[in-house]
Amino acid sequence: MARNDYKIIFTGPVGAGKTTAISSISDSAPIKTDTKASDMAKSRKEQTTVAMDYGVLKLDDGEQIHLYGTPGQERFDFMWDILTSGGIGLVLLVDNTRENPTNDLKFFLNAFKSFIAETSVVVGVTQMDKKNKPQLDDYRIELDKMSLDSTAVFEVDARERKDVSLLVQALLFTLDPNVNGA
Amino acid sequence: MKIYVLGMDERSLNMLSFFFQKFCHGQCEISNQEDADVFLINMDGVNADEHLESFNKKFSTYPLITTSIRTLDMDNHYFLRKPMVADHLLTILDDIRNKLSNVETESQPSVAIRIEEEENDSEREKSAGHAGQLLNEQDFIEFVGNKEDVDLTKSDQHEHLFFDMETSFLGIFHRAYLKAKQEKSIIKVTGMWRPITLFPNENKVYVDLTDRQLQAICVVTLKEDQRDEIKTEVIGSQAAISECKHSDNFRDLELFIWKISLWTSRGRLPKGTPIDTPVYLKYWPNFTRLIVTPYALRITAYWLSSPRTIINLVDALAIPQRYVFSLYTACYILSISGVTKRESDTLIFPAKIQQTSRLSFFSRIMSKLYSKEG
Repeated sequence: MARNDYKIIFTGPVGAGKTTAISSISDSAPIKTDTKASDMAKSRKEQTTVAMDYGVLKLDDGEQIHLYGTPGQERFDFMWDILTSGGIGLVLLVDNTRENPTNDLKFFLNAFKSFIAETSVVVGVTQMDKKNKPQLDDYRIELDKMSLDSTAVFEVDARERKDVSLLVQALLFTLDPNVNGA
Repeated sequence: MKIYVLGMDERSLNMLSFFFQKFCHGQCEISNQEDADVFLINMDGVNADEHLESFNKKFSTYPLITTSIRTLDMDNHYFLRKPMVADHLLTILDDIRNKLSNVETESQPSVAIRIEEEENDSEREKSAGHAGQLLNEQDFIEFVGNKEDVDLTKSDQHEHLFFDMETSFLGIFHRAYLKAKQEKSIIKVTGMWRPITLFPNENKVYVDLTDRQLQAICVVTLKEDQRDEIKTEVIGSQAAISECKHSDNFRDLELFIWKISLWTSRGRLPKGTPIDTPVYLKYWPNFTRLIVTPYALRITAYWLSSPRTIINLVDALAIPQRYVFSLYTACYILSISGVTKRESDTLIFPAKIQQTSRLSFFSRIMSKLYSKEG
C-alpha cells in the first residue's frame, strides 16, 4: 500500500451497519464481500460480510482514505489484525437491538485493544430508534471502566451520511484536535 | 415599513432586526425616530410607561404597536403579544398600511393579537431540524449570536460576556429539567404561554410551541412578577398522558434543552461562570442528534483531554469566543460540564496538545467530509 494511503477500520458485530456506514460515505460503490448468512448470523440478516467491505474517500490531491469493514462473525477474527495494519483509527458500530450490546462493545474494544491504544476509537450505536435501551450513558459507563472515557459515543443511523461523517470527524479530532475544521 | 422601537436594549434590538429581516421578509425594518412610519413600545421594558406617555404627548398621530408578554388592553393602539409571531405583526402592518394609504383620521382600533389555540398549522415546525448538521453562517447566528470578541484580560469588558439565567426562561426550565432527572418524575411547567411537560425517563418533552416561538421566548427577560407566575409540578403518568394528546408535539428532550440553551446564550456565558478557573467536560455530546455549532467537535476533543479555563480554550484554539461560550453553556445546562472542584485540576496548567505529523492530512480528510455534507 502506498505510504500516503491510510485506512479507517469499521468494526462491530453482525448487523451493526458496517457495510451500510461505509456505503454512506464512500466515494465509489463499495466492494462488498458477502454471502448468504450461516445459521448464527441468519437470524439477523440474510447476507453477511465474510471477508471485508471496502470503500474509499478520495481527497482532492489524489490521496485516498481506504475504508475497511471487518467481517462481524468471530470466526473471521484472524482478519482483524491484518486489516488494522496501517490504520489511523477504529469506528466501532454496535447494534442496540442485539441481546447484549454492551457486551458486544466490551468484546470488540478488547479485541482491538492494541490498535486502539496506538490510535483511537469512536463508537456509533445503531438501531436506537427501534430499541432505546441501553442508553448512551450505559455505553459511557462501560467505556469509563475501560479507561476510555474520552471516547465519542454517538447515536448513528448508518444509512445517514451526516451521522457517519460526524462519527469519522470525531475520530479525526480525537486523534488531533488541531485539525483544521469548523 | 419603518419602525421606531422604544424600550428595548441593544441585544433585543438586534434580535428584533433579525426577526424583521428573516421572518417578516423584509417588510419592515428598524429605523430612527425621524424616518419612522410606526412606533413600537416594549411594555415590559423599565420605562415603558414614560415612553407611552411621551408618545401620546408628542407623536399621537403615528400608529403605535405595543408589545408585552402579558395581554394588555391598549385603547387606540395595536397590541402584539409576545412572543411575536411574524404573521400577526404583518397583519397589523397591513392594516396600518391600508389606513395610511386611505389617509383615514379616525382612531385606530385596538387589535389584540394573541397566540390563538387554532394557530396556523403551517407555522408548526418540528424541532428536529438542524440536528446533526453543521450550520451555515446565517443559520448559526440565531444559535451563537454575532458578538465580537472582548479583551478577556480587561475585567471592565467582562459584563458583556454573560447573561442572567435567573431572569430567563432557560433558568426556569433548567431547574425543572434537573428536578425531573433527579426525581425521575414527569414535570409540568405552567404559567407562561403554554404548558411544557418533561418526560425524563423517555428523554422526551411535550411542547406545543414552534421553534420560532421558543426562540422568541428565549430572548425575553422575565420580570419578577412574571417569574413568580411560573410553576413546576410533578404530575402522574396518567394525567400526563391525558393532557399530552398530540404526538407531533413530543420532542427529544436533550435536543430541546440544547436548542434553548443556545438561543438564550447566543454566544455568552451564564452569569457567574469563572473564565479563569478550569471547567470540565464529562463526555462527548451526542452531536448526531444535536445542533452542531461551529468548531463544536474541535472544542470538545480539545476540552476532553483535561479541564481547561475558558480563557485557555479560546486562546489555544484561536477561534471566536462566542463558539466556546455557546458550547460551554449548552453542555453546562445538560449537566455535562461545570467548574472543577478538585484541587488536582488546578494544580498544573494543562499541557498543550501536540500536533500529529499527519495534521495537514487529517485536515484534508475533514475538508472532504465537509464537502460531502453538501
